[in-house]
Parts: sequence; structure tokens; C-alpha cells
Amino acid sequence: MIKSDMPTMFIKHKGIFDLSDILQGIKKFLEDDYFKVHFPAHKLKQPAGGWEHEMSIYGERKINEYVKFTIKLFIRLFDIKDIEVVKEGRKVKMNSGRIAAEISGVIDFDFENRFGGSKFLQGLQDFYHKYIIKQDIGDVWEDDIMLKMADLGKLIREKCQQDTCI
Amino acid sequence: MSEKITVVGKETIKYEGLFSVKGLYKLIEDWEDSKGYFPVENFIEESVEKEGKVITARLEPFKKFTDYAKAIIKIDLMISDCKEVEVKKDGKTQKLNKGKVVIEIMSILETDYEHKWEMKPLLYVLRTVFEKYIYMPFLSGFKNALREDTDHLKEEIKAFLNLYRR
Repeated sequence: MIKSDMPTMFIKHKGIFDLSDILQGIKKFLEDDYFKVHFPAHKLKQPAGGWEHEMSIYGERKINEYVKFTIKLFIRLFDIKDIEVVKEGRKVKMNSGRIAAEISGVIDFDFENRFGGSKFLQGLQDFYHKYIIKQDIGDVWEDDIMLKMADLGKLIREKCQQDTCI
Repeated sequence: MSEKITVVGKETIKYEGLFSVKGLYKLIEDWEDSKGYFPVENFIEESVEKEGKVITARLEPFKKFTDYAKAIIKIDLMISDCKEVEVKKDGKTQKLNKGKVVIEIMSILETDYEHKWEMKPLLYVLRTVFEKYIYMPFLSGFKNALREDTDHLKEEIKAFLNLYRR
């Protein structure tokens, strides 16, 4: 199996946000794009300053029999407090604190390891990558996963109501 | 290792006063789009402080000229003491921001970004010969194009900020 890692994107926010809305938004975004969403780890601490969360989320999508996208999210939350905000005349439960999100992406080629059997198959895979799907890797799949990561980042920023989100 | 040539060294744009964060960000995104750069947002931080919002963003849009050369523009955006204000313009109330903006721009030309010419010593030597005696005119063309793009972006940002200068 060959992996191609995409550059990691970092988002930080300090202020007021709705944590459950962010998490639901991430899940919906990935599921709407046919990703299978997993929540493998979630740590929760309560020191004096406020709640601390650490959570990992990843979504997997098989693009075809040979290519698989994985988008990973690692979210850390610090000093989280539950607050009530008056929004359009109604009281809404929200959170205040700091959020740090890391978004990374991986493209797995030959995720079923069909070309791992013999030297001939490995050579064939090398040829396949270099001369047949080279353009697809560089211009289609890599761009595609990076745009999806950017859109996911935009969604988180939008949910945090960041000014740089347009 | 791919080689990174600094084409335009770090240049700084400083501004203090009225502007629109969303507008500035949109301008950069639209510029990337119009010039065929792939948008990459490496890091975005937004925090609400007593003096106003602090926004830090590191953008690294890139454009692949060929399979061998790639242009990267590094944009560091730092906005501090950013407050929302309402301004009356032509009888209409407009929501703008007031604060300090520092934008640092530098551009880099990356060669052999696919790491194809570094597998064997012979290839490495060939690459140097290729770059010095065969590819040089193309490389200088790419450098000029990148220099022009960087200058254009700088001028666009300056013009945008000057719109709000009173």
C-alpha cells in the first residue's frame, strides 16, 4: 500500500462557539460527501479553569477499487465553559473557551494490497503510477482531497463565526 | 530534496484604520482563483481579546508551472485590535472593521518537487547540468512570472486598503 500525505491545516479559535453544532456539522459534512465517519478517541478532563476535551475523528471514502481518501481531525478544547447567550431574542446554550483543530488528509493507493504479492506486481504498480494514473494523482485526487480539507476547515471557521470565513 | 529558490524576499504591508476583514480575505481568495493558484490555508487563528479580535493566518497558495517547477506564495496575515464599527457611506450604514493589519508576502520557486531527480547520484548531477544549461531560460521565465504575480497581489492588497483610507 502506498500513502500520500497532504499538508496539515491548523485552525485555532478563542471565544464563543457551539461545540455540539461544530461536531454535528463535521459529521454531516463528511457523511454528505459519502465518507464513513469514525470517532476513535475522546478524552475529557475537568481541571479548575473549565472542561478540556481531546477528540479524534476520521472519515474514510473509497474513491474506487484502488484509491481511498482519509480525512483526519484532531480537536483540542481548553477552558470550556457552558454559557447562555441571547440570540434573536431567545436564550441559547453555547460554549466559551479555546478550540484548536488539526486537519490532515491521506490518500491510500492499493488499500486492498493487491499489488503487494510479487516483484512483477510491484513493478507493474510502479508503471501504473508513473505512466497511467500520474495526472490523476497530481491533478485530480490530490487537489480533490485538499479542497475537501479546506472546505471542512471553512465549515469549522464558519461555525466559530470567524471573520476570515467568507 | 527539492530545491527552493526565494524569488521575492519577505515584503511587508502595514496598515492601521478602517477596512473589512472579510473583504480582504475575499480579495486574496479571488486573486488566487483568478491567477490559477491552488488555495492552501496552513494556519488560521482567531481570538477575542479585550482590545479586540486578533487574527493570524498563514496562507501558502501554489501553482504548478510544470512537473518540475512550482510557485509558492507565502502570505502571513496578522490583524490585531480589530473591532467592528458602523460607518455611514452614501447614506447607508456599513459594517466595517477597525484595527491594525500587517501582511508579509514572500514567494518561492520550488524545483523537482516530485523528488524524481534525487534517487541516484548520477541523476542528481544530471539535474544540475539540466538546470544550468537546458532549463535555465524556462526557470527565469517562471521566476519573472512569479515576481509579477507577487507584485500584482501586493498592489491589489495596497489598493484595497487604500480604499478605506480617509
